[in-house]
Amino acid sequence: MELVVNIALTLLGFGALLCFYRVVKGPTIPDRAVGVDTLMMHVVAIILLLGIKGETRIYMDAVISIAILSFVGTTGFAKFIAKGVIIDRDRS
Amino acid sequence: MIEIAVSILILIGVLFIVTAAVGVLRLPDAYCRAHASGLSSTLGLLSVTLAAIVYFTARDGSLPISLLLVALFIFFTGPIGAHMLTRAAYFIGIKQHEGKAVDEMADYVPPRD
Repeated sequence: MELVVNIALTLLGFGALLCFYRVVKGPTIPDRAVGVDTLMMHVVAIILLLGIKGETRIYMDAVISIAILSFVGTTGFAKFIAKGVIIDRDRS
Repeated sequence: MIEIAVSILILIGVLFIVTAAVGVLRLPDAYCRAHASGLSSTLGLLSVTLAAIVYFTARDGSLPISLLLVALFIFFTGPIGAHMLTRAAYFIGIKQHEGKAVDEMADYVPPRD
């Protein structure tokens, strides 16, 4: 299982590089937002695998907070690129 | 036995997440990229979380509640985030790629210039 976790971490680092290329290159703003979203998924998976590899449970609280921050960031970014503001008052 | 199950779950999950990354890199426009990211990385992250749940339950003998919360949260919020990004991209007038793209929403909500 040690070998499988190492291979998985290598693949996830490679995938994070691909997402980072899309964040830097992306022609429009939603492309960059999608790249950041996928990058945060990679970060959550990497921290879970580091917890399995190090045989410790102390990373799991970090995992839940990073997952929540990822969702809040994606939602805020979507609101921002739709209307230009994040918290709006027009109740539509 | 537990290690084989955890290894298979980790491999399935990482395969889906890296597939999402390749889709984000290779697909032609923002809608296709959000599709790849939102579907594939949600399933892959669920599988990796399930692997961690199985591993820590077998090692310690107690269920990790915070990982169950993570699995439930990702299962609900991954598609919601992808949907909101795609909706915002449509409303600011991001063009679809050239080819066989069909804009069925233009009959109901015209995109803003």
